[in-house]
Amino acid sequence: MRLFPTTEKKNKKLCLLLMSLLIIVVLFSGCWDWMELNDITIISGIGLDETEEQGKIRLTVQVIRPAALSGGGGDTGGTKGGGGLGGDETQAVRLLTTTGETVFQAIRNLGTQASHRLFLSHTHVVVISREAAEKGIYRFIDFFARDTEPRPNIRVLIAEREAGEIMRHASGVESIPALGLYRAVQTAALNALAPDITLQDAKIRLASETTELVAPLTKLYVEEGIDGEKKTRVDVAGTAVFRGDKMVGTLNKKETRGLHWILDKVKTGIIVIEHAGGKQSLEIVKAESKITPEIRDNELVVKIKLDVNTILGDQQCVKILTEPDEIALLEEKQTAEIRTEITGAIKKAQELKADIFGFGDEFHRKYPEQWKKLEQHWVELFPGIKIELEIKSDIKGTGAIREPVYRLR
Amino acid sequence: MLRFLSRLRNLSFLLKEKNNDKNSNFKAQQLTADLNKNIKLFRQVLGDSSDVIIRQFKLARGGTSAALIFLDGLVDKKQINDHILRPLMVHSQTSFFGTLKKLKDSFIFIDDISELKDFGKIVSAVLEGKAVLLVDGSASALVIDVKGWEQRAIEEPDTEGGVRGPREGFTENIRTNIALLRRIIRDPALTFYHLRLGNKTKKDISIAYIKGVVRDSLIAEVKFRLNKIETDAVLESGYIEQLIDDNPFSPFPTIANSEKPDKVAAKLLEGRAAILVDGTPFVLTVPMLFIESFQHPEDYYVHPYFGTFMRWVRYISFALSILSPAYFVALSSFDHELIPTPLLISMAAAREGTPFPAVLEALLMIIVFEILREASIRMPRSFRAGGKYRRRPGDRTGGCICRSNRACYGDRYLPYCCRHFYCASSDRCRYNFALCSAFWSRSVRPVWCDHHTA
Repeated sequence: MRLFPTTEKKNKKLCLLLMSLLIIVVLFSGCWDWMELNDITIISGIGLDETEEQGKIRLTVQVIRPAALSGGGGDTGGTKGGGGLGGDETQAVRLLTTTGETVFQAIRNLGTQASHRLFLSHTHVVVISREAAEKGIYRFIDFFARDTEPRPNIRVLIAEREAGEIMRHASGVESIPALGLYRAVQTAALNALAPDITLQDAKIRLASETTELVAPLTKLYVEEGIDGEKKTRVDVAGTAVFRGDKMVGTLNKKETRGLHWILDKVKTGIIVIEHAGGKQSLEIVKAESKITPEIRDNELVVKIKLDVNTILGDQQCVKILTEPDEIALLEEKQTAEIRTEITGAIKKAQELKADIFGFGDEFHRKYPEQWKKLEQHWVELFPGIKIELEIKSDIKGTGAIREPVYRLR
Repeated sequence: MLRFLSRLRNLSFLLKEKNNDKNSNFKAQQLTADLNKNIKLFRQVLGDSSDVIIRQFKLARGGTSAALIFLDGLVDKKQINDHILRPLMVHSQTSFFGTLKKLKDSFIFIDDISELKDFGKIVSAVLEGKAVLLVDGSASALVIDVKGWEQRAIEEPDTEGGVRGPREGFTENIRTNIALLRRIIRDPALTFYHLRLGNKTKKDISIAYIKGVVRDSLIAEVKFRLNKIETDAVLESGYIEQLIDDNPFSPFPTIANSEKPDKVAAKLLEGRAAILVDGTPFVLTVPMLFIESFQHPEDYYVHPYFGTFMRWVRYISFALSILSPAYFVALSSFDHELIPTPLLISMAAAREGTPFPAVLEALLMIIVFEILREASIRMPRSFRAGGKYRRRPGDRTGGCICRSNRACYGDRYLPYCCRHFYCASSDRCRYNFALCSAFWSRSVRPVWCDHHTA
């Protein structure tokens, strides 16, 4: 094969020119958005607060310092200096704080502090303070939904007090506090102690006409570290309930699990019941729920069918609980406990007039014709919905032993 | 510089011509009936080389004069003494009877023997390792095949390993190689077509194929291409490969080579042709498809599941080795959002303090790998045997990659491979350069730094 089919000098030159142009076009087209890894500052978490000055946003971002994470350096963020992030130079992250009129402006205002371009694709959590959330959350969310860098799986959390403080303190064992918080939300949700709400979930719930937003609650607590010093840590538990984009109340841990039962999101967890003079733990191994809305002569009814399997996880009494009669009793009490949790959650939600369960969407799907009328009055209708619970709960196992190893002598 | 080079070229041209002058006209010479004249002729052509042996003797205890000419080292002396000299000197008849036929028929106990008149052919027979018998009164010579020289035994090839399958590999001797193929394919259809290449080297080349399996046009094409070769030297099958390649500009090979008889036999059975070249254990097979790079006879020796798995491993590792540096560059320079956060952090940590872009790092890495590879192949065995030197380069790089997840270690590891590179010559250069740079900095720096120090 001949590279240049013509022998004429002129054409050869033209061919060479074209070839070199082609090579340049192919090889150099990537240069315009070339950004080396050490030219970006990775934001791991963002805290959003209201400033004292009306309408302004205070932004606290946690940026990763890779150098501190690679051997030597600070391998443990947030374990030094009385629970704070302490000795700044050895820390895996650094905090940058600024204010702005909007979230986007505030992020760009960080340009005066960050050494490199800020990079949002590896942001894991966005924490918004309760105070700010009560005034409306959408002004914080829109930027993260609209911008192309943040991922849809960012976890959205509500801080009991200041969001910036949450950014300052460590959670779990991760060296990057925001990553620890991200994992903590997932672990809490696994045990149905807090909802696991991603940015995508938040967008869907905000977009819905009736289904209201929920978000995990996070707060600081103080504990004594192994060196005897008081450390401030971050804790994720409970649910923030919204109406529209404004936070209106909270659910405690039990009510949070009630919410999860209805949403069919319980993966595991412990049900504690009092029985035979002690407390017995039952570990949830399977939970399935089904919601069926019904309209019965001008009354809205939601039928919730729940199927729960548990195993006996831990007993405090010395009675043999594995007898069929005892099991039946335990199952009965377990059913009652689940019923309490569900009704508690529903009662709270109805009090707050916030349809966090998505009942409205269920009615919409099943009764599209009637829904047009229902929709306009949903806020008034929701508190009046009648709930019919049908709980089937079984104890399927007793763990590695059947009878307690210790008996009264 | 250019002038020097062109002068050099002229000079070499002259040298070549001189050589040609000396040797090219011998083909025109003719043998005569006079033995002494003939011997003189041989002396003239073969020169004063010490390995040329011209043994003069008399037939049948003092009869006609005769001479045996051969090259020391290329012939089997035992055969010459026992089967040529002894019968001729002791048993043959006194008188010479005009032709060499009687000698050939009755007194020389060697299988391959022929009577030649063409002086050029006789000389090349001597150079091949045959013995030439000249008898006074005859204008022709007997060319007797008594080839026999030291050769490597059949060994396991270094370049192509395997777990299961025959261990033997081709040697430098084409006869042995042909025998190795014959032993695998015992079929009369297995054919070897012989020819010689190289004006100076006159290499034995053999095209092997199985009649009825191979396409005739392929054999015709191979013969056509080989016969068209006009060259002075064929030192290795690589010469032939490059001379008959389909597409010399392509980086992809169109001719495969192997050291293993079972592999070549497998390809012959698939209808390919093999080209055996004397003096190298690498046998060429044509045509070659790209996919053959991933195939190995061992795939057929093991269980099909495992063979298929191994082949897929090869495909995948091919893709990985081709694409991974590119992916590394793409991810670390453009698409940071695609990297999992923990990996991103450790990559960013590794990049901290490196002044070069990832592209340069990746290129540097590839080049360093090439240097290490070249150094480890080319390094004299005595350096390697110690173990200490041998293990170092690979170990260090491998460990380094694992430990720090970084691509840029050229700065640290170049000195290592330099240390291993060749031996004395490069060492000497290095010292010279080191000394030069020391002198340079000593003499220049004070001038620059005057205002700093003052």
